[in-house]
Amino acid sequence: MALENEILPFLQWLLPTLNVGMGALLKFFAVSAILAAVGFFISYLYCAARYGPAEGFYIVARVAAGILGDDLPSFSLRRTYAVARLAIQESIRRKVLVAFAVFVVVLLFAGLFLDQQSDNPARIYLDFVFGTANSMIFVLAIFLSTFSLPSDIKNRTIYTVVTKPVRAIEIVAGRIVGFTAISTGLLVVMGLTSWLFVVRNLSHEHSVEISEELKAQLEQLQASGKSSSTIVGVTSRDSHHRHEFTLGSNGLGNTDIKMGHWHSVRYDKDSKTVKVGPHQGMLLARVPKYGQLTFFDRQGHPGQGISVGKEWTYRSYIEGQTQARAIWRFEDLERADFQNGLTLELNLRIFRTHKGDIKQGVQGEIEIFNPKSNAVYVRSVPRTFTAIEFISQELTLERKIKAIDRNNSVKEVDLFDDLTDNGKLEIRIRCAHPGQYFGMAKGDLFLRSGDRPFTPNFIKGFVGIWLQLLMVTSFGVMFSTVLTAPVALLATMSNVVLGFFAKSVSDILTGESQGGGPIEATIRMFQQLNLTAELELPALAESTIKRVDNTLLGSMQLLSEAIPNFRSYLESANYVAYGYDITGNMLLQQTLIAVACVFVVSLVGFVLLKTREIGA
Amino acid sequence: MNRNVVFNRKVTYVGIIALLLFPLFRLGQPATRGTGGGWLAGLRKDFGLAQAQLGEIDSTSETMKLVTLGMRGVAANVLWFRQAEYQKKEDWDNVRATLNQITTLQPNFINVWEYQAHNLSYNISVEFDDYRYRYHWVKKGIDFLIDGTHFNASDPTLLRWTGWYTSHKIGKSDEKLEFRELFRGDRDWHSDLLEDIPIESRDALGPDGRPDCWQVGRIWHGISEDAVAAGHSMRGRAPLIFYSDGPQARINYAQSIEDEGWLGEQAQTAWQIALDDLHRFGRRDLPTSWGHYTRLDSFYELLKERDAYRSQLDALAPGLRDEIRQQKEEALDHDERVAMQTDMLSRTERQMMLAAMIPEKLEARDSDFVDRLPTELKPRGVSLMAKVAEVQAFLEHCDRYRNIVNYGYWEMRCEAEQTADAVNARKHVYQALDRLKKTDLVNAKQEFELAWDYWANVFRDFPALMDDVTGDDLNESINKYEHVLQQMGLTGLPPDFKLKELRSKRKAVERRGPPSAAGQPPTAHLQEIPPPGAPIPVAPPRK
Repeated sequence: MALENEILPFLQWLLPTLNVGMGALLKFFAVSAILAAVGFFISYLYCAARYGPAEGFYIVARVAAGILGDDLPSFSLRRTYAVARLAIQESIRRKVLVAFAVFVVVLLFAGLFLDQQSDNPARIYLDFVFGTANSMIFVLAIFLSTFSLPSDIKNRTIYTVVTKPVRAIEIVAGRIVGFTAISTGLLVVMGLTSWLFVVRNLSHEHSVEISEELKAQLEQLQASGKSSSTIVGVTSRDSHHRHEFTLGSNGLGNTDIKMGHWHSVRYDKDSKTVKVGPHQGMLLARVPKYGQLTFFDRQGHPGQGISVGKEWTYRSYIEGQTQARAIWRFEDLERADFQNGLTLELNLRIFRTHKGDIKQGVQGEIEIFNPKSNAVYVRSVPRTFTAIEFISQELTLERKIKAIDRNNSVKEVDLFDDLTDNGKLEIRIRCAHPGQYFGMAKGDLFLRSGDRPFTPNFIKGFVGIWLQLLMVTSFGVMFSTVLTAPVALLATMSNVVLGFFAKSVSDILTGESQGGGPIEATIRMFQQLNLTAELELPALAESTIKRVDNTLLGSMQLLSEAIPNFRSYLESANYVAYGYDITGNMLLQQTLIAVACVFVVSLVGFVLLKTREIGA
Repeated sequence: MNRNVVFNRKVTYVGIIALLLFPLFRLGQPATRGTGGGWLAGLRKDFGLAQAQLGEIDSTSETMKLVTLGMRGVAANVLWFRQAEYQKKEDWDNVRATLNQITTLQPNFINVWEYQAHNLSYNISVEFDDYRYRYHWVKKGIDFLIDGTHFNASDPTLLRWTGWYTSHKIGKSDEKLEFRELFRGDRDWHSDLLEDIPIESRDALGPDGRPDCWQVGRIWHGISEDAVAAGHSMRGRAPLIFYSDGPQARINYAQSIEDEGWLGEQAQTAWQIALDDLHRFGRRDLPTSWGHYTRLDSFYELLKERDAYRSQLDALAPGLRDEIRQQKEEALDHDERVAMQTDMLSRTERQMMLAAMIPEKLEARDSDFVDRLPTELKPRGVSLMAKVAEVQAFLEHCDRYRNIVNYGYWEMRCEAEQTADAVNARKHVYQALDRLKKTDLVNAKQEFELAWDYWANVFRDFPALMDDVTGDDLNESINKYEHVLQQMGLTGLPPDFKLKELRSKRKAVERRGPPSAAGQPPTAHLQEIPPPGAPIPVAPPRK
């Protein structure tokens, strides 16, 4: 999985820092203050136009004082709960459970259009269930939250509530809680169904047919008992694949990796059969520890990696058989990380400038460097490996490792004690073949300190969906306090779309994406011009269009700053699909964003409802 | 507003809707077993566009088409963007999964299958460093095409591409040795392919009894030809190229097994089957861009016919043509005469240019001949000249089409390779190279010398082979032979070396540069129409 958007450490994310920016907390206060100021100003303009400047100010100030001095302090959880219960009852009356039925139907037919012969079926299945659950729950939340209040106001059933001692804030909060609760119930059932769908569909068994040849080999192996002897065999073909396996003299072995998994294999002496265990390595939650990546150029000086001309510039390349190195610097390593040696996971790219030996992979060397300047042991003896592309390659460096000291003599040392400096460690990679290149990015080498169980990670992925549900519901309720149902629906959907495509907007503004803003794009569509072709317009018209587009995009970007980035929540689903653990830090950041968003949106909703003339 | 007005308006609307239903029903009534359906159903049937006529009916695809509610194009567009993004970011699993979704939405959009199969087999496969993964993705492209043929059973081009990818991508890549071996041993894939083609039949098997990519490719080409024979369109493909793929696959098969060391009876049989296939192709009536049909094997018949007419023309005034030619020769200037008299290998560049133009200058054209005929013979002469011109035009068209697919060369090659001399010649070269690998110089030299004897016989019977790739390959082997001699302390090729002519021709080519550099294909001379008066070449025997 490409690590394009780095997850910052929590405090660095939350608080202002020099390198990163203003921090989430300050941004939150800034956006809230701007919203409050804009809200106050518009209200004042409206009231001033209607009642005069002095009277207008008085009205706005009175409402503001009422909110702060009366409504908020008198907020009642009991009344909110009552409204929430009503919202749940209303949702059930509206037959929201149909959404679940649709979800189940989609799952039932999923097998027909999902690529069952994919090289990584788990990824495809998980992508699918997260994508479907996300879309379904979005649609449900948008419809529930935007249609309820406007229809109550239209049918005047809202009078039964507002005539009671219930405050506007409680109506807004109650509806958000109620709709979220019913959607949460559905989401839980969807999550459970999805889990069953994934686990059951990926589950498969292989058997091994004992041929005469294999039988003879097994008997010979059993009789000889030599530790070096192994048997190679093939399993049956099930779920569109078969494995090759190796059995050791102890009767135990493993299969090769196919479709992103492997099986353990055991020779059962009693029944004289080879038993294949359940699949392993497919549903994982790896816990990676990333380092900072730097490069040495071909002369061995600190520099940059090379571009080999790929469109995607995520990776940089180092030239083989030169002084070029890729260096990962790790910090905060603990003795526990080295319990069974150091497990690395590599995902390098290879770029050949000549064909070389087709059957022979490109080889590289890996070295551990001690970052301490006056260390006794400078580096480990280089270990050769053959790079494999598009597969996570696991390398384990033994705890006891041969290292080179300052006098260039080789001794066996302890990896943690002798080659790290206060938990710091450097790993250097070089490409050994002249004319060939290795490509890498920060996330392409990490220390795999251990795996966590899949199910909690799957739940964390669904928590991400739930947080989105919470925010979308809040937006829906907020818009429905002042807009009619269809307009509120449109506004909420626009919000979601902007939340998903905020990056695309900034990409167009910075020129990273081509094709121009809304007007230019429309012209291109009608003129059937591709994204890079020159606009066939007079210079003045073109510059005017671009200026208007930039203004439009600028305001969209400004707006998108106040809207949570929904795409980042989708990324947490990617973590599950690609078998990486969703960290507590990531979940905490997402939760804080959602809570802050819901808080501000509820307040805005409350103000809008409070100032609305419901009886008019 | 009066309640009655509203009610009346509603009744009117309902009435109009009800009325519109009749023409709508007439237009869109679906076809059933008993009825032909409405106007649209009739059109679909007439143009062969009904889903049942196009290929398999896939329930998922139909559902997807329905649920997109007319936004199928937009959805497909979004998916194309997504696929491009996945490909840019090297997320191959999702590329493949997205392609599934695109083709589920648009299963009868042939270009999607063609384009994306090429993407999988040619673009994505090479992104992998390990040749086994590359093969895996080549297979994915072929499987994708096969899926396409299920939905578009009547489309010959998808079937043709399936044959092309199976044969050329596996059999002609840089990794062809590895790919071909992986294909032969890929039993799981063979059992999958068995649902579509008889991969276990004798026609699909190589000399080792396992399926061979060229043979399997030929089967796909055959199915594609059958689809055209059943009346389906080639969708703009040139019939000449379309029908040449099958025989070419057989020829490539014969070449491949020889390269891999199957040099006995198997190779002879393979060349024989290839020649039979080529002759079947030669007998096919092919449309030309001049509006008439031609058969590639009609070349020799047309040649005979033309010369027969010309003989009749010449018989009107015996000796006149020689007289005209004599006069033209006398009109040549000094430089042209010198160029003509100089040996071909010793000519300067200017002399070569002059010499190349002389045959045309000396040609006694039919028009010159008829002009000089006595008046009473002129009408007959004009009539015969027109017939010669007509047959000559057909001949030239046929010749051009033969040249496009190198028909004459391959015909000769298939013939030559079947002879015992060629088989023995190749066997001894193969063994010599094998000995050389094992640094057994004495036996390598001996094997090479045996091979030269046989090659000399082959070139005696088929001299034109010296000028083509066979000569190139052999020249490489002669270089190695020369190297062996040097290592054994001998200098240069022996005086009685039997392939001297080949060697000198190659040296001349090396001096001048390859013929293709001057815009001439290496085998162009083989396809030239013999000039008037030249002996008519004998057509290779028909099996």
